[in-house]
Amino acid sequence: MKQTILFVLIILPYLAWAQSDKADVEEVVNDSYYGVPSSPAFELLPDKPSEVTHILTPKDITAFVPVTIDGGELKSNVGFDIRPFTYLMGPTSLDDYQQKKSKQILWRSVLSGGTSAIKDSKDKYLALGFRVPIIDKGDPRASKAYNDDLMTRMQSLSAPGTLRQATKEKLQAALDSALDSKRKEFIAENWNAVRLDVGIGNMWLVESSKLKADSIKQNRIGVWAAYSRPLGKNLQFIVSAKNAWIKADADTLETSRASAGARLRAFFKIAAISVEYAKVWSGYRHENSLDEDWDHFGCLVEIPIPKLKGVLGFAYGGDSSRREDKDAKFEFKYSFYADALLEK
Amino acid sequence: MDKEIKIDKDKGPVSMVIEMPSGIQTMAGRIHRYNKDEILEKEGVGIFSGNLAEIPIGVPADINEKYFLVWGGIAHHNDKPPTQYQVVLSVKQGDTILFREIPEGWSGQLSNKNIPLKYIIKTVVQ
Repeated sequence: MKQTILFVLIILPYLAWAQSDKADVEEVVNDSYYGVPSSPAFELLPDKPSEVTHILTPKDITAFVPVTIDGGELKSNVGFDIRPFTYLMGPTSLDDYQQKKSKQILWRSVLSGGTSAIKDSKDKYLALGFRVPIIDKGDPRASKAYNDDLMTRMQSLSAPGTLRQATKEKLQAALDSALDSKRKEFIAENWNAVRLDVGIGNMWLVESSKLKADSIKQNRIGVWAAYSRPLGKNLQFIVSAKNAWIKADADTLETSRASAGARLRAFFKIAAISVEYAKVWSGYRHENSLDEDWDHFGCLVEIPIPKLKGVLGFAYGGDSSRREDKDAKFEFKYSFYADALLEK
Repeated sequence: MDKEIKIDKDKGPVSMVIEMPSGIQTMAGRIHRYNKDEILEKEGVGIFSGNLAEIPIGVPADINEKYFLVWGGIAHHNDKPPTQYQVVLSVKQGDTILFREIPEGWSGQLSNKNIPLKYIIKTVVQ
């Protein structure tokens, strides 16, 4: 007890000096370097669409078009996503899906698109992206044993004694109780399963928001690839690379940005840890003397404090300084917050 | 009770069909029988799943004025973006389809919430 008090007294002045909020801590661990974004189109846009339509049926398409285009003009901050191949796969059963890897890849592939406004301009950005999870050994649908277990649980729900007791609310509660514990178990066993994802996205500048061939100008294209694998039960290792080619109107503007990095994540009872490193290259095709590169490093330790219903996060990291950001540096930050940033 | 189904006393056994036309979802459940006072009479008349759609529920002589409860669901898989589900319920006597519909709540988007599948039919022999 005395040792704990002594430790708190020694560390308290430093903690008070360095205290940050959750967003500062989150900034140190930079997700954009690691993994393929779930919607590559949204990653290219300066602002993520505020309204995203999930297109599942032809009716959703007819509902989405008026939301996006008004009298030939593109609206801003709207987006969509769709699993385009589900319509081409034809009738497919769960058994069929579990046996054919090609069907799994087609089903998991997602096409997304969105628009974004440009400040003080009538022009807008329009982006389309495609994400293909080629390998996902943690795909819950692909596991026959897991799905058979879920089905057996649903077939074992007790019958209500009378029809009056057979309410939807009661069934929902019974379903959640029967299935959620098994789902948690599956996630705990497969959270760091082998995964290989690739993604591609393209963004155009739409002049005066007019959707006409001569108003749509190429702006940038991005590609992503990420591979992750387990290192034992508690660790996950991720390597990732991305590149963006940017159309520049002036010689002094950036024309490409590439990054390659690795991240190690670990989950233990007493703490969750993430350590990451990435190298970033910024290219100027018309003026090579402006080319530069920098390093990103981040380390985050999150200690759960159940009595206070939150986690204490300690982070150290940032980017090395460069011409475009001379103030960039590695910093220590910490904060207490309710929901952990590191999740399985 | 959601639907009363009239059964022909001479046309043979009756079955329920619970099917997913495009079925990459984890669906399963059971059908239970209740007497005319709506009290459980037989737990587990049959089970259903994506692979097992047709469930015999009895011959006309045994199921006059009985209730059948469909009690099951679709398990979610944290789909991002959401996926579509659609389940069709039919009642057949021999090859004749007596009733067929997509009940309310049996089609929609599946993301991070399990979907309950509940429906009650009453069988009346004519």
